[in-house]
Amino acid sequence: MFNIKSKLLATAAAIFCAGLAMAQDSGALIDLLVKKGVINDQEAEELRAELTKDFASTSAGKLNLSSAMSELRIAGDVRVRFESRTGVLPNGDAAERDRYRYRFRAGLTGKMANDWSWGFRLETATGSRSSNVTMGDDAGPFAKTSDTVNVGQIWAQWTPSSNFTLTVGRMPNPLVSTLMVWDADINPEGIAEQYKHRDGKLEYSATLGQFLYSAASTQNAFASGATPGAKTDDLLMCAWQAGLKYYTGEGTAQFFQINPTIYTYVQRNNFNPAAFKGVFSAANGAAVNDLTVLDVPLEYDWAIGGVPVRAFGDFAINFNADDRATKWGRPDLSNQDKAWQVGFQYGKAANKGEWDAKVFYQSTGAFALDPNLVDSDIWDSRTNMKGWVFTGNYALGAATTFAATVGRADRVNSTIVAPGSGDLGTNNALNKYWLFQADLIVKF
Amino acid sequence: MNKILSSLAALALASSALAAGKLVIKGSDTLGAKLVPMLAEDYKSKNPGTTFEIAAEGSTTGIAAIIDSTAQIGMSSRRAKPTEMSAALAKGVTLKPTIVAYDGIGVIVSASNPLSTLTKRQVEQIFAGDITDWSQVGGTPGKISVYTRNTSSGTYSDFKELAMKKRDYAASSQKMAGNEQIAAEVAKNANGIGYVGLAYLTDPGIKTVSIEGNLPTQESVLDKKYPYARPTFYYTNGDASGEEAKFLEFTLSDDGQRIVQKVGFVPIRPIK
Repeated sequence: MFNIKSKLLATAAAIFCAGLAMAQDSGALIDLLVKKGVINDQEAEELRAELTKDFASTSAGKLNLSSAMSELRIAGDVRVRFESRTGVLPNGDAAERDRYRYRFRAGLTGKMANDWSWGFRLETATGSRSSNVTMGDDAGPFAKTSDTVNVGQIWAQWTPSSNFTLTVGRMPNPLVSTLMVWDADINPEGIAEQYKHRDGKLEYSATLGQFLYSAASTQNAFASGATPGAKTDDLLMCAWQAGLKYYTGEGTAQFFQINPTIYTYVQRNNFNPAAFKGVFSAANGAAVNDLTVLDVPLEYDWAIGGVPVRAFGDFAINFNADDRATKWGRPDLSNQDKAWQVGFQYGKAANKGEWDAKVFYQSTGAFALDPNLVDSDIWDSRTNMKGWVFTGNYALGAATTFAATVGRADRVNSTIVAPGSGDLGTNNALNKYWLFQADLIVKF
Repeated sequence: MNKILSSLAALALASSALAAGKLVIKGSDTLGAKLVPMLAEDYKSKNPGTTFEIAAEGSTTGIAAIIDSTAQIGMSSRRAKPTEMSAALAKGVTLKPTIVAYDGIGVIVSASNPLSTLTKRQVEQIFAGDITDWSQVGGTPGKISVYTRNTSSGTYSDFKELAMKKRDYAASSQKMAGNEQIAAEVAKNANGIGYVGLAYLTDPGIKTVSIEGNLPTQESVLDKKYPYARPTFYYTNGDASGEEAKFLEFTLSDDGQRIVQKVGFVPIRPIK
């Protein structure tokens, strides 16, 4: 015959054996034991105290989170890279840049009560298009002067229904895009509204973005200012994206999707911000005059013999390219208004031992895209370049990947420079370009 | 080292208490405003020479006092949190709870308020700020004024857990230092709503709202039918000893439990 104490001990032992996670969920079980008369209230309190004490000795037990928070997630990655870039001028003069680099990103995201969430991510480096830190380029051996950590993302999000999302702040790019148009490191700042609706195998979506491209220092300068009375508004970039996704398989892994997008710039011709005003030219590669771009990324994912494969492409055209070319001084190059990309990927390096290989061809006309946004690695942040890129990934573990990328490009039109501000110096006369990258990536 | 420091602090407290015959009790306003002072008075009459220092500033202060070894008994109307257990462990302190009485947290409104009953969901929505006007719950139109305890109160935490699914209180809620202050404010404000322990439900100018037909009574609390019923505790560092053990024993005795009942709490067992 068991007495109450032995029952209590047996219960406690069972709960302890079930693990600490269960210990935190055992309130209902203890209440039931009290209700059934197996233990009394005081014994239940002692048992609760013991369980709480054990839980308190774990890492989770030492955290004190807001009661309004339903989920907190910590995630990020570390990447170590060897990179080699080579550029050749028309006269044959070559520049090489070999670098060992690292990247660190660590983010917190939280889900709150009442359909709100937030995110915060720290990243190394200060540039918008790269979070890489180059090793050994500091003031002294092993110095840390360039090893700064900055706020890469900080956003708040409201999701009143499963269909609609409103995001404000510095956010992960909400638009479906490719490296041809957007560098993957860019986290745009501003407001984004997203709507998504699935009806059977069809999914419709719309994403609107109002991004603060660059802020003016003042909106109405004092009379003593450098240019009193000058119109000084913030420069905004607006994006309108529609999306259609058709699921071809039973799950969500196989689909076809197309996301036509229009990009425009508001108040780009005002006095400020100085960095992006004026006319796009060989000497002023950041100007955003005469850019109204239609971009159409598309993708088809399916499987061959059980192996996931992906065909993808992107086509973009700047409807104001003729004006941009004319202001550059080459009205005859108004046909440099298009950019396109087409590629294929075999496999997916998701789990240990898996690999994938990807190849794509990309051509970007000189006046087709905003050179401030295009990928900083593929073609060295420049337009007027075309060429091939090969990438392979091998999963060393569930969260560890080795990746290699090789690229080669030439000018699309050899009679003008390749505008942009890349890592191979400011000489826009780049004629040929080679890229090699080897990455070790660990995610957490 | 922590254990040594903790032991030294406890030794110092015990020595001073022994020398002066003094019991230091800190914590819950729910217990410390009425019940424990009355228990102390009765105990002193039976144990001449014993003196008490009672500070009722909220359950959090009571548990902290045991962790810091600045009191022999910590009064609490809530259970110790994992973070407090963790802090205690780091100092070599074992937080031991002893149930000394049961309580029911009554939801109160002004006596002039015609409303007499609320659902659990309505209570949650009112205190969280989702419902802001009495007309939304069938009452006379008027902007609801929510009164809560301050954050160091165990009742503040218990009510969040028992009645609000751990949600935060409405940003507009007004935080009061004790049960009596809440009762006084609600009595003065025809649109007020608040919560107090069983011992304060008879304060003038207020009335208790039933929760889905259940009022907080000795019976409904003891048989756990009232949804906002809870135990109240003395916390000690491990098993009580010396003077605090004697006072704990007295609190749990029939004489002590009669005082528990007299003050308005629910005894831990039927009293002969």
